[in-house]
Amino acid sequence: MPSKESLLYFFSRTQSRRPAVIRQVLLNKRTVSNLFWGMQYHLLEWLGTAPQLNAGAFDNFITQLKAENFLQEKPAGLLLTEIGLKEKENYEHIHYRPKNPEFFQKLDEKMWGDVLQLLIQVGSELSYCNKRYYVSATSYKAQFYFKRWFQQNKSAGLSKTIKKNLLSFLAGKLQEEADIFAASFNGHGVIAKTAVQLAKSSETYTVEDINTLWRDYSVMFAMYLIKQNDVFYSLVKPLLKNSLLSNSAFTTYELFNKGVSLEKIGQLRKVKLSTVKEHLLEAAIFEHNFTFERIINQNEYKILADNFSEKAPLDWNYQQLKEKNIQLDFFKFRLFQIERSRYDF
Amino acid sequence: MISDNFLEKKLHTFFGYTSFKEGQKQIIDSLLKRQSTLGILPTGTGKSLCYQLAGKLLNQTVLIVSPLLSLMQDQVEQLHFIGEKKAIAVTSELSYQHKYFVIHHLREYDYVYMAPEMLQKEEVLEQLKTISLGLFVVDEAHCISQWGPDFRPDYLDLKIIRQKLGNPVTLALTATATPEVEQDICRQLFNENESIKIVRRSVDRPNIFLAAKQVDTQQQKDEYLLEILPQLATPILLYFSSKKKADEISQLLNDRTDLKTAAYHAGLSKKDRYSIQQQFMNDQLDAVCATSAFGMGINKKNIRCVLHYHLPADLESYSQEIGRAGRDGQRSLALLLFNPADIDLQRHLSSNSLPDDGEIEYYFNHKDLINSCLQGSDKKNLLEYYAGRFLTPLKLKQIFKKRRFEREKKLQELIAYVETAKCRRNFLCKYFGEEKKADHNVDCCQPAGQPLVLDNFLLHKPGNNYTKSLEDYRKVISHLFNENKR
Repeated sequence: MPSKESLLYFFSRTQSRRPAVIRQVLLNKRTVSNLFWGMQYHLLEWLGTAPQLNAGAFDNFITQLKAENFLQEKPAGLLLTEIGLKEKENYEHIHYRPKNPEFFQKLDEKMWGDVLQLLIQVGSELSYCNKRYYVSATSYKAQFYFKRWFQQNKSAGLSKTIKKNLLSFLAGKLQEEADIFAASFNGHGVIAKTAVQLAKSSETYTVEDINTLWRDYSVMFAMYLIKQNDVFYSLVKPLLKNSLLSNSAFTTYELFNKGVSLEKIGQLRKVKLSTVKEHLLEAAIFEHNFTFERIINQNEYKILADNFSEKAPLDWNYQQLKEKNIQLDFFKFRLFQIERSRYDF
Repeated sequence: MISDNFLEKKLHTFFGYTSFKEGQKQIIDSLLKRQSTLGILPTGTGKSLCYQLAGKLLNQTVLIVSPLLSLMQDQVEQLHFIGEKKAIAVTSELSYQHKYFVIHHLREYDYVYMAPEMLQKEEVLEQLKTISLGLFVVDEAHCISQWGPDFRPDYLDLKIIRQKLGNPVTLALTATATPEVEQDICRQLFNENESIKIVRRSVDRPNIFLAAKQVDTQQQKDEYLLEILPQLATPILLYFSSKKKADEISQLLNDRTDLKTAAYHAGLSKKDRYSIQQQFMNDQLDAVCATSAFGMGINKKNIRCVLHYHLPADLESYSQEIGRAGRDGQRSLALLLFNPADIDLQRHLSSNSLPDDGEIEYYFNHKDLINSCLQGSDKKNLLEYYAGRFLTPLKLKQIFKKRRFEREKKLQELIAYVETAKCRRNFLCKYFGEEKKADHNVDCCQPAGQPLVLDNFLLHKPGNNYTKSLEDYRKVISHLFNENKR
């Protein structure tokens, strides 16, 4: 669970933001509205980075941050105050913040965390030719997965390759962070330190920081291994996600890309047309090659551009079209808004 | 009995031990004669070895019913550790495909662990019928007894499941059972005409000194801990009823004493729990502040003191937990700190895990609502089990009222143990239906009202090899990977 002060990071001095959107983004609650607003807040890289977040505690923290004048209520959400900004900067100066939060979404992070522990432990015991040891507490699924890979890739030089990669990955990192990451592994005659113990040793980082650092370094190491393109490629690759879309939205998007009409997709997948549209909005947010023109025709583009081009996408109001008696599906309005929002990035 | 040397030889071949602990040989002998057996062996006397060795000798699959996921995983880990790779726990942790594979290839495994709920599944039962089970083991068999503290309604169906499997030879195992619970296990698990061999070993552990210390406030309790713990021989295991308190006291001990301490409870990550277990096993920690989640599967021989910071639920739990002390036979201490205010805390914990009348009514009238409120809790499982048996709300209220009454009775027995001015050892033995032990003496226990003299337990602890500061990652990595090999 993130600490109270760490939440200030997600607020801005210039853009009012609704805390509920931030909470849902961190929890990976994927309604189109959450994703859309998460995109507008430039926070989608944080999607699903705090799956253990307690919604009640989050809301309490926000109330406290308001009471402490770090956040200020505005019509469109909460704004970071001057002292809130200072507090945020102080916090960021001391605590650990993931360096590549978007990596968390790109692979099965939980499974990889287990697989990585097994990789280091098994590699370590192998280097000492020891077969009798208690396997690190990991899920059966991870053990089964790792065992299969290990049987196919066990070789005389495996331990050395693990060691080489680990050293070269950590070589460019801050000393204290590298030390903490290395102290989190079990192996032959080596017992990992717990987050509480590491926090006590570090004197800089809290338990929460240590847990975040471990997760962040684990996924960074996975991405590092993928780039090396050696024996570990086949260990990490199956854990990478093909797409940032939810499974169901991905299936819909695949059919859409094959040219299937929205109505037909609904029939084939036995879902409502409104669900198909939601899936495609999700795809429009995440997929850079999304073909907006397949849904919005030239004439509709012109109407939308004429009505909204002067304002930033965030300030557009669908009501405006209704007031002018222009009949255009909200779905197309929102798609256009997503397309134009991309220019902001 | 099978020839004297045969079993010892096999014990040595498979497990490397030269002799049996009390009760083990009798149980294995009985099982090999194909007689169902109830084994009541105190914690630490090697209950699991009974079915593990019998399984080896019978050369058929052994099915072990176990109530807890963590317990099953620990057992499988230990079997893997001794080189027995054909052991598996069929749990929700397995992926669908993996579970499907295991269920359809049961005969390929020597030891299969399952929770009782898994046995309710038709598919699982059908596959079990197709193999020849060497042994049907019910671990923690006291869970079957409504009189027992850990009653699990799913255990009540085990008799029917046994019947469906053709009444295989069964071993029921428990660490503690009053005569009432013993009878209940036999009645609930076995058929009327079955002859059951009962092997019971005393709960008494003569090398454990039994003591209790009464304090009036929480603050006094903490002060007392800070005073005595640094003087006591280590390793020490402290039990708590709350995760928060375990964390707090661990922090207090780390800050105010030179003891290396860690907290252990279900709120920690699996990874951290594994580390703490391993550090404790390898004498890198002086003390662990734990909830009852700690202990299962931990076979550490040299624990010098088990200290209860809070009251346990009953004497069954207490004797199991103190049984982790002194497994090496050396003198050890079981000390219970008692503040009368703790009674309400334990009472609250105890009754809070049972649904009250309001929740029962609500369950029947607004199932969806209460389901979301009680998601994943023991209360929901209990309500679902009984409601599935078409019991009326009134009947359910009566059942839980009775259970609450039973728990209160158990708690009162525990308080009586704390407050007894007589021999605590005899009190415990009597509670478990055992005969009076040797007359009380000063090495046996400290009855209430007597001064608590801990001179025998004030050994200076050996220096441990736990380092507090961070090590250079290059050094850690070169320890992890042996340069000279592979």
